[in-house]
Amino acid sequence: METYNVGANSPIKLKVGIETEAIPMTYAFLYHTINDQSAYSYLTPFDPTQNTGWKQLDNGNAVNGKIFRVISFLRFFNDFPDETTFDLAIKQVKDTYEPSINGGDYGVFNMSFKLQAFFSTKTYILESALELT
Amino acid sequence: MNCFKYISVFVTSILFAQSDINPTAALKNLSPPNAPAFVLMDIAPSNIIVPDNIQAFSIQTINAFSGNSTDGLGNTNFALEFQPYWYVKREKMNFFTYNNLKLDQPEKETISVNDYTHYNIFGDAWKKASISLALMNGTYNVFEVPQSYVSIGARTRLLSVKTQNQISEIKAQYARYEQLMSSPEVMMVFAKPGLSLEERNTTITSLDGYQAMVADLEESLQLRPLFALDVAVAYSHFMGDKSQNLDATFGRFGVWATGDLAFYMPTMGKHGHVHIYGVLRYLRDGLHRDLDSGALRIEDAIDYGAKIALEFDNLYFGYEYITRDADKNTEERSMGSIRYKITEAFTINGAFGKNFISEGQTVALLGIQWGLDFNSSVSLDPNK
Repeated sequence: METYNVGANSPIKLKVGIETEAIPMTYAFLYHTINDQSAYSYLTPFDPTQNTGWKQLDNGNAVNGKIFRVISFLRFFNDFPDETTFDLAIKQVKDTYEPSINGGDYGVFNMSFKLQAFFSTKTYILESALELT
Repeated sequence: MNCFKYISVFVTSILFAQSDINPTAALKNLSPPNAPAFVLMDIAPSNIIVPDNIQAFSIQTINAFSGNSTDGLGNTNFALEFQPYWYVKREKMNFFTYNNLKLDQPEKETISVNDYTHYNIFGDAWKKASISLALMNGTYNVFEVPQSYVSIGARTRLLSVKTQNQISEIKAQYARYEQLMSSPEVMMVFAKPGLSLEERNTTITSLDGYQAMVADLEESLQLRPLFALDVAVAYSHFMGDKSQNLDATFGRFGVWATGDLAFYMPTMGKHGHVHIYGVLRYLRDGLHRDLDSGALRIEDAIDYGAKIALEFDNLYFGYEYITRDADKNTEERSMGSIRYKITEAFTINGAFGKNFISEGQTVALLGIQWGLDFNSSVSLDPNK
């Protein structure tokens, strides 16, 4: 898991950049430890194409030592004529998706992410995880 | 000519060689072969077309139903069509922009659905633009033996107009979707660590509320615009025939516009519409032969006509009547067309009637369209 040095800094903020024909919804959760099964804090889910600014984690409280997860779920409503066209729409997301975190010792950090597309449901999920040290 | 054929086969072979083709997916979403490069030569099932839901890349083919090449069409006629939109990076793209909704003020960090108060009637012009290339072979009621033509064409939806009700419905459905996706039931699925992406997707997309919601939103988006104006341009080049002492020369050039007035008819099905089309086309036609010298000559013509079509969920009937007002005479094309989707993987397209210069003979066409499936749904690791 990647790490991001926040020290005693606050607030720590999240921003998600994306350019897509789909409706994306982004979910962000904070956990006390990596083994926790439920989040102790979360951001209100948002559409990152309509809410493009920075959002404070845990209402601006210090988040040192916490685990941070960001998941974006996209649903396309295009009437794709075939899977080739769908895959080109997916490529656009992969090329533009940029979950960033800020407020730590070294400024803006672009989180890496794993992703999977599902043509049968015209959906796409991207997930990032970060240890805040 | 042979050189072009070899290049076409070579390019196609490369595409297939690089593809992991899924035959079931490759046959999905068939629609009539209607690339402008075909329409210019009057061999498409319908001369009145709209660029609806074009594949990013497709190959279309038309054969003579009778197999009798002297009737007009000869061997298989191929067209490649692609949409540049999908191959370039889209800037400032989002769901509303894609559906032609515009903000009433400069962009800000937090945008509400109610900030989208304008509709961009030219919003489809780039999205729906396509370019087609075709290789055709036939007598076209001009030659004694089939001759080859190469065509290039382009088309797009120049403008579309949606009603205020249609726009309000899209915005309302978006708000409902956003609300559903922010519900505790959905958030729990994403908050739970340890689930794979596939498990999360399956769980979310299986929710009853989700399925009903996306069905409603898709339905509101699939309603045809009240009015749409489509434009196309195409050029066809005659490849020549040394056996008849005919050199390669100008074939046909056409530029045309089609207006589509669509009335939503829910009693005809979920996607039921009655369409009334009007078409106007300028044609510079080199498919004429001088009776004395046998040489090809060019005539100018104006096509104008109308079409009425009934669109049900899986069935489509259309009838079109077009008059060609040429330099020396007037001709008519009177064609009926039908499309029936048997399953998601198989659709039949057909047309019959009287074509231009067919001298009362009935013409029958049968066509299919299929797409190439280059890759399955992707599962990528950006770190690699």
